Amino acid sequence: MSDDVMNNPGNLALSGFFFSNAFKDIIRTMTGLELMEEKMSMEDMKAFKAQISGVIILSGEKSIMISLSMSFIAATTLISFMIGAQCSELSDEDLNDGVSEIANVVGGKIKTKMSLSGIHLNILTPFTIKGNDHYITQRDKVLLFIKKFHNNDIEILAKVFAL
Amino acid sequence: MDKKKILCVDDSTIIRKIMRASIEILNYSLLEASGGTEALDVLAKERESIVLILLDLNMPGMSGFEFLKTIKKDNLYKDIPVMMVTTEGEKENIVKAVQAGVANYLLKPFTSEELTKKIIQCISRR
Amino acid sequence: MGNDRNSKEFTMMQRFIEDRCGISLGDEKAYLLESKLARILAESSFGSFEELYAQICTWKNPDMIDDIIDSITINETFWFRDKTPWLILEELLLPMYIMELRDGKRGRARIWSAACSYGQEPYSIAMCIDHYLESYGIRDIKLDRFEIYATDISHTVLQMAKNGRYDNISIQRGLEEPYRSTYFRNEGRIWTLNEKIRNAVRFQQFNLLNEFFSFGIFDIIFFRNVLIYFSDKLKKEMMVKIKASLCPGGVLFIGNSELFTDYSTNYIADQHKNGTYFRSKG
Repeated sequence: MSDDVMNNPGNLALSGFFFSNAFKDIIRTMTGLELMEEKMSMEDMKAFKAQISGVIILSGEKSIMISLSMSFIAATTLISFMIGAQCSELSDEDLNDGVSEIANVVGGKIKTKMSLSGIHLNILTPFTIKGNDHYITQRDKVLLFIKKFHNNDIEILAKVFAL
Repeated sequence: MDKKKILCVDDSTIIRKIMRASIEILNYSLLEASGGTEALDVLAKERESIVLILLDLNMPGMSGFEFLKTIKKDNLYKDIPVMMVTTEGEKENIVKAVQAGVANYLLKPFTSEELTKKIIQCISRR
Repeated sequence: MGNDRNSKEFTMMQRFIEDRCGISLGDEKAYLLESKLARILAESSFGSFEELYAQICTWKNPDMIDDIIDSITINETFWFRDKTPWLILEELLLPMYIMELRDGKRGRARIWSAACSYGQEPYSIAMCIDHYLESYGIRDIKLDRFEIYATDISHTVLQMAKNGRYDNISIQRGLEEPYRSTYFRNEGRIWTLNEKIRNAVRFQQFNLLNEFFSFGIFDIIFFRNVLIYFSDKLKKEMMVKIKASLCPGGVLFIGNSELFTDYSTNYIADQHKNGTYFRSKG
């Protein structure tokens, strides 16, 4: 899969390269954890087991949806570093809120970037999807790009859709 | 003497927990509100001890801007400094916030040290 | 909607920042600066960037300068960042310094953490040395034989560093045992560095554009993740200044992700356990 924009309906001016750097920087700032991006195939993507996803939608003259999917363990690790708590101290609410807040921050970064290209979007309230082995799917030509990030303990699947 | 307090207004519990770290390092106590309406209730009870308000922009119900306008019109609250803590990095929104009376702003994502630094700057420059 | 990044005002601000603190703002950081300067402009009584710029040039307002610098620099917040400089310190440099101190070949070892931020780097240096001395049962050489200087351009950040207090979020970024329990007192969510380590570091406000000679000569300079902010021209000047502040054979550490390609005139690059360090040519 190319790092560049796979589909670019309406010339969205959002590149996979920008997204990757922004996402890794956000995770690093919020958690102190370094993530690497790995290349993946469609088969890898379909085999990814998501248990919790943070989702944000940006709406306006163009619309974008960003989903960040991971396992509960990955989410627990991320949130524990975010707030400086032990994993055992985290509640369900902490996990739900933390994952959606990461999506919120990513959405904000994309929103700011798009505004520099003259595209003004509204950021909607982020939300969380939970459930073993769930999969966020899309119609053809709506998925802008998909990226997988990881370190030793965490894997995150990021999807960006142009709605 | 009771500790001075900082009021955090954000609908994210995680963000409020991150803010708590910076606030406690500076020997302040944390007050929390998940939205503008709740924040007004907290302000009414604790006004005298609040030295700073950390305010998110995008919240369900009363937005950050609506809350800001409300308190800036109220003589009881208008002099309490407000720092915007938000994902909204566009120049227009920042200018709007400053013109509405915020003392400073901080973009998400931020580290706890960065927030601590900004709180120091906000309070020392009152 | 036009793209303001190439506007005259923005160019003026870029030049001002580069003149005052050497920080070079490329287009990729332009959007950061633009929004931050909009705040400063909106807060001030000036109607345009031109007016603001004209005033800043003649103004000696430390708050505003601090504000601008704070807005565009990213302060490092990791303990023992990158791991390899600390391995090099423990396995190569400290054994050599201790031998030289014992032999009377030197009176002390001098180390500088330039752009020290909230203190994690210089305190990591102090903890690394102290832990080494303790681990090897070295009683004749004390921590005070190592002079650790730490500088940063921001007054606020320096004050935070001097306080030596860290929250439960920042304490876990790179700080593992035994350092955490040995060197910090924990009360709730606050971790306070012990006095011995705090006193081992001398903090001073300093703009790296100024001349370094007032600090004297160092055995090690940590100049990490700072060069990325400077223009190519300033980077070259900075490396010359650093060389002049290092003793012959003195060691320079830059960030592990930074590139330093034209070093060979003044430095020799060495590797140890996947970490690179630069020795000043005598």
